[in-house]
Amino acid sequence: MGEIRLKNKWLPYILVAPMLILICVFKIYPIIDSVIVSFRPAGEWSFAGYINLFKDSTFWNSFWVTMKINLVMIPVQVIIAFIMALIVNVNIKGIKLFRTLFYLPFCISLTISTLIWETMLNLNSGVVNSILGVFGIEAQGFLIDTKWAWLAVILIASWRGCAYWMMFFLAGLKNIDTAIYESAKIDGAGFLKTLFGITIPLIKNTTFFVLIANTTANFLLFAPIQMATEGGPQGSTNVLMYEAYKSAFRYSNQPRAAAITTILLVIIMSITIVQNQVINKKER
Amino acid sequence: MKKRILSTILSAVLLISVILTGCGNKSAGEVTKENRDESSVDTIRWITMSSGEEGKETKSEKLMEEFEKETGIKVEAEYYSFSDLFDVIETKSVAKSTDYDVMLIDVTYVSKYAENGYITPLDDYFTDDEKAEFDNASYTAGVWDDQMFAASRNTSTQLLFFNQKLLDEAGMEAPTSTPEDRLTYEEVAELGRQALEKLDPDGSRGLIGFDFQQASRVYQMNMLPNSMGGKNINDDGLSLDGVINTEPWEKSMTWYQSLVNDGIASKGYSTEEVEAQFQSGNMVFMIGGTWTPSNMAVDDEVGCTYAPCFEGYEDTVATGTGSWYVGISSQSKSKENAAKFVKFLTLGSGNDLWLEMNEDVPSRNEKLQEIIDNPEADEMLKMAAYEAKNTAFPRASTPLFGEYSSILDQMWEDVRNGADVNKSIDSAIKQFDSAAAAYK
Amino acid sequence: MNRKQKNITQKLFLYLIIILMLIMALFPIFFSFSASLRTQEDLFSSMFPFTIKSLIPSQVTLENYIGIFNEYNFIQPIINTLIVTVSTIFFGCLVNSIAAFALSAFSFRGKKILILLIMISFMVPFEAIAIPTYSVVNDLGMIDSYAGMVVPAIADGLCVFLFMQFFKDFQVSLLESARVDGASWLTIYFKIIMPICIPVFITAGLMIFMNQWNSYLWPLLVARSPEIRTIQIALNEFSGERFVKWTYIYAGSMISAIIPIAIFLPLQKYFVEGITAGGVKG
Repeated sequence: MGEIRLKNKWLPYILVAPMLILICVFKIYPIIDSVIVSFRPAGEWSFAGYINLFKDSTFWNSFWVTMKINLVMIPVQVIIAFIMALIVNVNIKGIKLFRTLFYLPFCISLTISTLIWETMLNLNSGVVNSILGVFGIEAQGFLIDTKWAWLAVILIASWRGCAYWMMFFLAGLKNIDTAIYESAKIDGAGFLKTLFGITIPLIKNTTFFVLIANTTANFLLFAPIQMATEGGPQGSTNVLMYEAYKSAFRYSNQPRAAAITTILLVIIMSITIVQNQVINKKER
Repeated sequence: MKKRILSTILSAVLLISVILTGCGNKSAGEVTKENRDESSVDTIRWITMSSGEEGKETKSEKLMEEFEKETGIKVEAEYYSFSDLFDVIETKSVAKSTDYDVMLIDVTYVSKYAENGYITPLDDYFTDDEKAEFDNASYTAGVWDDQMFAASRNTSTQLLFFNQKLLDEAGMEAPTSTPEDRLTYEEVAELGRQALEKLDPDGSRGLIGFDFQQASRVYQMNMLPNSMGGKNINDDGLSLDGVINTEPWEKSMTWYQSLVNDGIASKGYSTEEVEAQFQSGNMVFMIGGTWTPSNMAVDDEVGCTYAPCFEGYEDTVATGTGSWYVGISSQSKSKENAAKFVKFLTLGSGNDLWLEMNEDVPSRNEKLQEIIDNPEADEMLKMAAYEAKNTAFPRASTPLFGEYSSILDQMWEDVRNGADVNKSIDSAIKQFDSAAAAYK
Repeated sequence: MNRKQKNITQKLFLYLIIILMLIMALFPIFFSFSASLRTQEDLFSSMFPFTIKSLIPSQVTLENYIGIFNEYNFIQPIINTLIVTVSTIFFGCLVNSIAAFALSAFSFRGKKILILLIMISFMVPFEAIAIPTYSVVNDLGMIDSYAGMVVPAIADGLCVFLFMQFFKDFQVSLLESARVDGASWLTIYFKIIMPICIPVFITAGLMIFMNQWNSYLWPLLVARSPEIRTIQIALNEFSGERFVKWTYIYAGSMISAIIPIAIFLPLQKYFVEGITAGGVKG
């Protein structure tokens, strides 16, 4: 929207107040508390928590693993979700049913879907290996082999995630006036031209939302890793968030956990800023 | 018309949700208030593990009933599943919650909780005589910084279990052994291999020959190097250098890796799945705990014998040990009553009752001796009592047990999956040093 | 004739892709569903070697479904989760959308900082703030109540952000003309914005729904009495320290998945093609 002139200049504040109060009490205050904890590892203000972290090879391993997994996972999920949304946006018979079925993976909770995929990717008795066997391919240890484990994690997360992000893209696509497509067709624009010239620019806001939300969700993801690989094999799936979780709940080391999540916050915000520049800068 | 229906529905939803939210609040308000109310000294709250059995907690409820009969103090329990228990205790303890008086604590968390001040010392509540009632290993594991912080409810040990039905099918005899003349790991591996050859030569049945109930968990896997004389950690509990890069570790880990590579032990199954395989009748031999026979999902007959030793290392047999402890929250407002309950659960009639209901290995000298002396006692419990008394090898004593187990669990899993043994050991040493560096 | 052929091949091609994607999406669910209809021994004995038996139960049994309702009283967590979820959706959509409206439509002092706070609020994982949040909720006396599970979840930065992005596409002229006509903001909100933005309200509602439905750590900490525990925690009850009732877990998760679908399916019709009336970017 553009910006509307106001008679009552208190209106925005009134509208924002409930959300603001709730978010400050239940989100912002705990976040500040957590950041403070990270700077007070032994009860005194110090950088020691962060210094120890930067000297820890486990931390750096986690850092690179996180980057590697996310730099693949984020584009993959966003693109696939977009394509899925395009497909279910079409008005063919049964599309409402298909749409619901595509959304089904997300209705299975992350824990259960990890469990199911773990069973399916099992070295000895998994479905996937049996199918590979039909083609004469040797059974692969998807979750226990360093070359596969990180991809398996991406698969598990994306199987469910793409269904979710598809919904947002779909809502964005629905926002576009069909009249535009009609006039484009009359002008003789082909599929690709319509896609890149009209659709993608018009869902810029949706795309921005999905990118940021997806980036955040993926950098903070660790449940599949906790359940299926426990950070292994050989640390190849030990993402930062899992390291943070272990620090808080297994090592009882709250300052270390807080330091890691603060670093994660910085990383996510930086990437968000970059994404903002890329997508929204063009508007000016 | 449609709009009116919609707005009526919306208002109804609003009304209902407000009422329900308020309702939930009211009943809870009483609960939370009760908690912080110092006058209700005759009720204590106990956080413990849920049995997972059909949503009923008959065993715990029986204990609480007995206690109330004996002392008039009411106990209210909160149940959490195994994995959730730690998360909840951690969060609430750091938040200094007054929700609980008595806590069920896993042996490996005792030092951490004590160090962080989550639990209060018990020296004021246990006399020296009472402390001596516990067997030494169990008592010591509940001690931190020379103070007793948690009392042992029971302990555990490892025996060699086998599936009699599968052995019969393979035409093989059930193995027997005595403490003086044990089977060796190598012999059991060979028996496992033979069984597989007869029962599942092409691997299509997916049977497992010989495996560990808690594969890739230090609790059990460490007994392999321990059985060759290897230690679990260095004396100050802060380094693995010179401890795991030694012959017992290298040799036993290599042996284990070859067991997996030869197809006798499994890989690719998670710890829970390995156990489920035995429970479903798909495994011939397994090193496991005393709860194994009662957890079978199939009717197969299960036998057991003493834990194996490594060839040439008959004198250094080691079995994994340690189980659940009971402690008092440092935020408790009813410590006296809590202490009564702790004693009830660990030394008193509560413990007698618990041991009757569960096939756990006792950690009280008196009870252990009872089993050993009783000619009618169950064979398995007798063997277990013997192992608990004689071959139990305590877990590493360190304030960094979380980091320790996380790193070493990984190491065992990596070796199970074929990683180079020495490289894995070196990596574990390095990681633990990093963790300890921050601690110093 | 040629165009019609092209159309048909295009449609067939589309159906083919959809079928392939459906297989990918539904196969694991089918596997889980068939596992929920078997006994535990049947499940483990048929997993290896993998044959068609691994997918189709040799003997279909409803004992898992019966078991979770009879033995574990699974209906209670379902009801609890529904109560919590519906309340959160109602308040959440309201609170977050009006805030987003204010942030999109007006300019005012402090707006930039507010937006920054909102973004930060969802970039931190819940595990990181579990402990301080618990303290706050404890001090407010909301532990062990539905309120404790609903209130902290109402204000959701991601939800505000979602509404903001959709409101950006909104035609402001429509609002201005309504204002000129003398409509109050309340009327504008309920009579103009909401009807046109139904897809985003549904999307936001769905997002909040799934968040609460799958929420695990927070209900674990807050819902101390078994009477108000939610569904994800209940699913964990099927594993004890020394055994796991896999088949019960599969059955429970099937039920847990069906309910969101049952709600989503009828809402499909609001995802109507090309919302016009000049309400959106055109």
